[in-house]
Amino acid sequence: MTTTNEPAVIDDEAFQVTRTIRIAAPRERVWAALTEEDLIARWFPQRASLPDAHAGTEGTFTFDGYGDIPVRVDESEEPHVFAYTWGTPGEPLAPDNSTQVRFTLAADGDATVLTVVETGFERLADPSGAMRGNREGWTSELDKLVAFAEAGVAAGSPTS
Amino acid sequence: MAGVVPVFNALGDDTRWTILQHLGEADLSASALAERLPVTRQAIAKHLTVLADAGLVEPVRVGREVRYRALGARLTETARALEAVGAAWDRRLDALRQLIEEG
Repeated sequence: MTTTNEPAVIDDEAFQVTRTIRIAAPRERVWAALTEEDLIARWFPQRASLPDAHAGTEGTFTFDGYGDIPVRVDESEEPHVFAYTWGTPGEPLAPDNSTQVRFTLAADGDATVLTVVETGFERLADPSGAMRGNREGWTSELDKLVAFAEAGVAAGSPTS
Repeated sequence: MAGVVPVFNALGDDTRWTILQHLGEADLSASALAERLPVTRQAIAKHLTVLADAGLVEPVRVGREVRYRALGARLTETARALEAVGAAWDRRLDALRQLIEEG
């Protein structure tokens, strides 16, 4: 059962994009979907390379037609907080070509309340345009995470 | 003509048009706009989001403050699109007029 979640919102004053959603799946499953490269690629980028979810680990998310986005895990506290910095294909991570993404997971019975906060847009060349784009991105991509996480629960297989 | 409707929607509000005119003269924060208009700061924030979504303004960090800046390019681009449509309609009217006058 999927309830309708609100779309992502922009806070222009804080230069951040946020979204809070409720997923009818246990927190462990949502954590796995966010941090395990095989599962990430089932809902987010076409390919994900993330050897593990420890702070400092580097990897890439590959979106078809866009390229390999460099990713570096900043914070990892299973199953509560997962945060990373991600940037621009073909460029090393730098303050003016990257933003921070921070997921917090709260258990709500058998369900999970997931919040994502993306910050750092003020350092980019087109902060407003990037926020608008990522607002659409988090709305559509997290909807896919909801579908993926909830489908696994319905099928009765926690990590498939 | 992609994307003109959000611009029309953004402009089609007296308060938003007034905000845009103020920002056309100077970059202003939401608080500064609230001082100049008979509207709450909360309402200003909502209007600024609509304007930013339409690409007519952008937030700019100035020290610890965030100010909004009017972007002329989007307005100019929309004006060009309208001009092209208007010219096409007038050409059609001229062609019809010619047909009638000729026979």
